[in-house]
Amino acid sequence: MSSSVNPTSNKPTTNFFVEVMILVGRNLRKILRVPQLAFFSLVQPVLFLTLFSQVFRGLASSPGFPRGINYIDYLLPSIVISTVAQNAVQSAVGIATDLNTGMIDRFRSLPITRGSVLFARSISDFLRSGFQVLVMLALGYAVFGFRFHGGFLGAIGMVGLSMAFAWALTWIFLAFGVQTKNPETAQVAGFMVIFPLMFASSSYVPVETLPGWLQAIAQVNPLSYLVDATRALVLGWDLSPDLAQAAIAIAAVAAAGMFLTFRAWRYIGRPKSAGRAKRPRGVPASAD
Amino acid sequence: MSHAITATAVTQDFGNVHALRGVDLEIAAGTVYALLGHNGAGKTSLVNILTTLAPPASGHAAVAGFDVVRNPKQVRSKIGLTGQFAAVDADLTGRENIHMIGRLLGLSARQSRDGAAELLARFSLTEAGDRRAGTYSGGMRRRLDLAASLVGKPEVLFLDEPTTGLDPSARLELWEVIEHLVDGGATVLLTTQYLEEADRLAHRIGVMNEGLMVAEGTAAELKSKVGGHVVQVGFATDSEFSDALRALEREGLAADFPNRTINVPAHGASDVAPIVRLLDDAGIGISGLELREPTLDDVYFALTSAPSHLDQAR
Repeated sequence: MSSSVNPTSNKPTTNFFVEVMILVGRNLRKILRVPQLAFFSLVQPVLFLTLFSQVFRGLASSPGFPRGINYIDYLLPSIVISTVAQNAVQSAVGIATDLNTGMIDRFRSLPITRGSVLFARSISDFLRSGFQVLVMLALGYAVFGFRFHGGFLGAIGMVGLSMAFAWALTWIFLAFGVQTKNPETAQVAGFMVIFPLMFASSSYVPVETLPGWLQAIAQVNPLSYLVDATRALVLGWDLSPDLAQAAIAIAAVAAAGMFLTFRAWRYIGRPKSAGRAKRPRGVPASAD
Repeated sequence: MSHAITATAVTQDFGNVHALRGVDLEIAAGTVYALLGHNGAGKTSLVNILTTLAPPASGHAAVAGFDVVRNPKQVRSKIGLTGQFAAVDADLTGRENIHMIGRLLGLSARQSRDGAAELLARFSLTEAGDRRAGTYSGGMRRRLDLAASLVGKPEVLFLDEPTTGLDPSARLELWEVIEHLVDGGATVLLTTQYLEEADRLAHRIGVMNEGLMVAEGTAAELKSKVGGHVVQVGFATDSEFSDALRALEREGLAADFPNRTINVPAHGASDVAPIVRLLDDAGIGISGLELREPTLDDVYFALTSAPSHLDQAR
């Protein structure tokens, strides 16, 4: 038998949970340590809330706007869902960066569970989104006069739904990142998808006021269902159809995202994949 | 002697490109083996298969006694991999990088921390250990990469072009580190484009070209095919160059000819005079003359052309 560097070496194995914890710790440490990332993670929700709430303030005086409602209570759920959705694009960037720098090859050469790297990424990005949701709620309360009208359960439900959606969406963007293997492409592609979806939804105007083709998009847009449900939770409206629809939307997004991510992941390093992940751009994907 | 790495008729295709066209390999445990070849020769494809990063299209391979396709997890628990592009996390410190890999390998937090401290010291990174790896020089990053590959005390270590892109002094530093790995008894497979590197570090060398293993042996065996040295003769004009080429070929001296220079395999300084005399007798002027160590190109050339007849020409 071959000898090892140190003959006393023992090889305990880890388990999925421990691996995910270690990798989540690594991802979070990176966010906290890179000043730009930490800064923008904090600034983005502040900026979004301030801008969107002021720009769309006039909505309250439009004829279709529900009566007797403070504009911020109506808008804040939309802004939270929009921010969470945009933030999910960072999942694509994160995983593509790891693929590009060779970190993923290193992880794949370790005896760890398949998928622990992906789950860790989805969880760390979910935690960041959660932090941003809390920042927006706090700022909304302190500065813009936002209030929950659906009671404590409504508040919990609103935060829970937003976070669950954030987690589900990371999977869609992990698929983007694994597929493109390039942080810049992943970012641009991600925003191209998320930006239209932000507006072709019930987020900022009633769906009925959109042109027909946008209405069609809005009706299949998961963001619409999330906005409707979180808005109903905030305003204390009747939840009967919205909550179930939002739950279905979250489940569908998570399932589709996981399917696409794991399918793309299987082909990393395999023949006919688009070149090796760690090959720097500009170098032709030769067979070496 | 048992084998730490075996491969039998391994092939790999990337679309229409045949990256590996049937490679056999046997590497004895506790030895250093160098895969020598240019970009595109198939070295990394082979390493990716042996490290379970990519499955072979056909053929079999085993590392540390485990089949890479059937038992990838066991293989992964026995190996360390240092890739071409120093895969360390730039946002983590050197210590955190090693610690993270140690933890993922299943070491306890304490084992892993001790291992990190020990490896940082061994690779002269103790002082830099608590700085972010992004602030490291290229040579330091490679050393850290290597240290991270060693924290699990692998039986088989893969070093894919460990010194590519490093300046000469950083390369020397890394060579010293790699030489000491062997002292510990690990099996090392390294890939390189530099004959000098393979010569210095490896017990045996396999030369790859276009997805095939074209030669295998010790550095001395390979060099003897080239003659150990190369006499490089330069010419000022195209006509002198082509005259010289004809004259040398007439004498059966294998030669290749980039940029109006002719490289003649030679055994040493004593082979310079006959070549100069031959050209002088033919009335051909030369613009430069150099006796040098053979490079990978010279080995390639010697392997793919007729054997040297310098002895007869002398």
